[in-house]
Amino acid sequence: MHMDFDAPKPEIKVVHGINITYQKVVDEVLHGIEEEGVPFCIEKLDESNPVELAFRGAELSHLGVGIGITEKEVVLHYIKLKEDQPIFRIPSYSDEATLRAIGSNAARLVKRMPFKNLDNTELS
Amino acid sequence: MIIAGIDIGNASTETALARYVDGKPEFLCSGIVDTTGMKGTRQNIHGVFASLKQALEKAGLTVENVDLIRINEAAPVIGDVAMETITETIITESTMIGHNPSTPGGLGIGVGVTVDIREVNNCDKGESIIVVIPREVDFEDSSRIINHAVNNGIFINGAIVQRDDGVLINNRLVKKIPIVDEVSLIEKVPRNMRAAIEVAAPGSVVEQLSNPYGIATVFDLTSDETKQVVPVSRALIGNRSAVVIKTPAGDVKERKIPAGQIIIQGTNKKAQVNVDDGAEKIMDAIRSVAPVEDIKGEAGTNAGGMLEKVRQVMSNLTDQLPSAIKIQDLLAVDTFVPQTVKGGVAEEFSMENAVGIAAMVKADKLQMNMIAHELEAELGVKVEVGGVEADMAIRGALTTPGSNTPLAIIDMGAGSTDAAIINRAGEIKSIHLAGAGNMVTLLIASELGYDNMALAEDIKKYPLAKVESLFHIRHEDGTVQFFDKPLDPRTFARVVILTPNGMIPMPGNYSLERIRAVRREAKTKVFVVNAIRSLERVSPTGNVRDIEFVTLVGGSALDFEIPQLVTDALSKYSIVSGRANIRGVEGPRNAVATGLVLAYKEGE
Repeated sequence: MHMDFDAPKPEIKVVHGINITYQKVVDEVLHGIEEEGVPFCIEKLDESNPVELAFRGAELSHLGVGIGITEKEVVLHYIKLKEDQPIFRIPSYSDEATLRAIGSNAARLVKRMPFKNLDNTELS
Repeated sequence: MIIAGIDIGNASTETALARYVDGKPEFLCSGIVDTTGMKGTRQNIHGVFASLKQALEKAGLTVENVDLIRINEAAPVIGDVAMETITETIITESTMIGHNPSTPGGLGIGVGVTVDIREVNNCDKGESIIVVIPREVDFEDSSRIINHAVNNGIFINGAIVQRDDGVLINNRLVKKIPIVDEVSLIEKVPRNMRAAIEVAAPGSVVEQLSNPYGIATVFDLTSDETKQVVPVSRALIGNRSAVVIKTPAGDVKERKIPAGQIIIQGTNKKAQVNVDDGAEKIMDAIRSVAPVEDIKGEAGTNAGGMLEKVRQVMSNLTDQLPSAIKIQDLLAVDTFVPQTVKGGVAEEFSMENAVGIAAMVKADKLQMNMIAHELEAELGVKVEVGGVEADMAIRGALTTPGSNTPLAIIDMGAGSTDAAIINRAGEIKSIHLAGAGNMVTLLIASELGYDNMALAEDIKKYPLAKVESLFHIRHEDGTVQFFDKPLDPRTFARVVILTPNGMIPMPGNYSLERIRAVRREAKTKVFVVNAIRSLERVSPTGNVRDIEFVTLVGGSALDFEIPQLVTDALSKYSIVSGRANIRGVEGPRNAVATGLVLAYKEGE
């Protein structure tokens, strides 16, 4: 029997501004999510506040997890938190390892695994 | 007239303050602070001050109001603990990588010769290889190189990766292969050697490489060679991914470390026992020669060093020659210590056998009189050294509602476990044994592989919980607790210790069940064993069953589970036992201090 409830796919929403100049930053964050094996999709919104973008992502995501990326900042947000209090926020000029770690942490929030430190090392 | 009884213990200094009216004591207040310095030394005075001051403040009195201070004739017993590993695993020429990266890539088993990814293009068509990918090569380049090589007819059957890139590489490959990532010391992986890689499906564990015959199949081993790989396969059991590399002289050995002998000198008999025979043999030997006069370690061995260190510490503390220090009891406990495998490439560790030892030293006499003199001079209050510690403890314990003579007490402290028994005629017999709270801390720290003793102490003292979301935790017993505010992200999805100062996240990947089991095991190995051992020694018949009532006192009796463990174990000997409640209000604390005050009435 084929069942189709038209349920939205469980995905992490990565939201960034339009006409971006920081594709590299977005890519690294996505690699972090991919390595952890959690589905994700990308949205574009005309908005320059990264926290706002992240929270919008969390609202859109069926998993309640959103990442907002602007030229200046990368923010990880969760639907159950207050809008102005995201879990993690890092500057967009962070190195590759840190950008990937915030992606990994978005996935780990879904998987309920301990977070990585933001220098991409495991907390110990 | 106001009297203060002050008990200087190994870990805490306690005060009981009472007013005598018509020869009857009326207890006012108590004080408790950490003991300053080692018990029985000059440094204790600061602790005595603080403890007394605390009690006086609560009662609204000052030092001038106090007419007499009684301090305990401290049992000159000091304990120390040590740990000795008795097996080790050595890998000569690295042959295995058995670690659990959280996200390995691909699936299945692959066999081939190890080749650096940057040299893959030099390989011949038709060759079977395993690529080694160091940090410098990123996942996009790696996957491109692998896809290209496969197109050229080279069989790439697996990859060993330094970065956390396994899934990323795998997702970009045309032909899927097993990939083990997060191999930190990749430069140690030998090149141009035959290797096998296995990655199990999520939720499963490696099957081929954790089986000696599986390794034999992969590498065409003879029966003799298969015997040699047993430690390798054993070390890989339970991992989700594994690598085994066959080098010509490669070998893994499990070796017994000769730890030396312990020589136990009894009053009449003498026994010698090898430390590496394990705790049971050592305890049997001690029981067979009791009463023990001194315990020595074989000179020039680890056992010798361990016991001599204890002797040296005690000699410094008590100002006596090391030769005058006699070790009069020893508690040996079998344990496991996770140790890094020598020669491993990914910081693999294996659980090695170890023996933990607590030693108890009786010095001639502690400097209690000296402490009393100094106190008297500083406070201007008369200070006297009261009765024997065990007598005082029993007197205090008898203030527990529902208790009466004959009664045995077990005083579970930090440094030693003491027992005393009083019969109907009021005669008291007492004993001091090695091993108590500090030993439990040591066992917890070593079995979990923590150097941090403060953390192990917290594990011992407080219950655990698992943080299940940013807003709720699940306690050890399964109950769930919710919070209004989000929890610290550092605790997310971790096992935490619920201390009064907040949650402490536990490092490492131990499950809550594992930590709990280690904690309870350590407490059982020390306190249940010592409860029975000590009651055997004070029982008038030598049989534990002939004791009817036991109360538990001392700091470790405050623990949230030690009294239950002991009560449970003793109920099998049909003994009524439980935590004391001194004066009906103090719980298991303050027994000796209370006893010191009560003894005054009887002119002792």
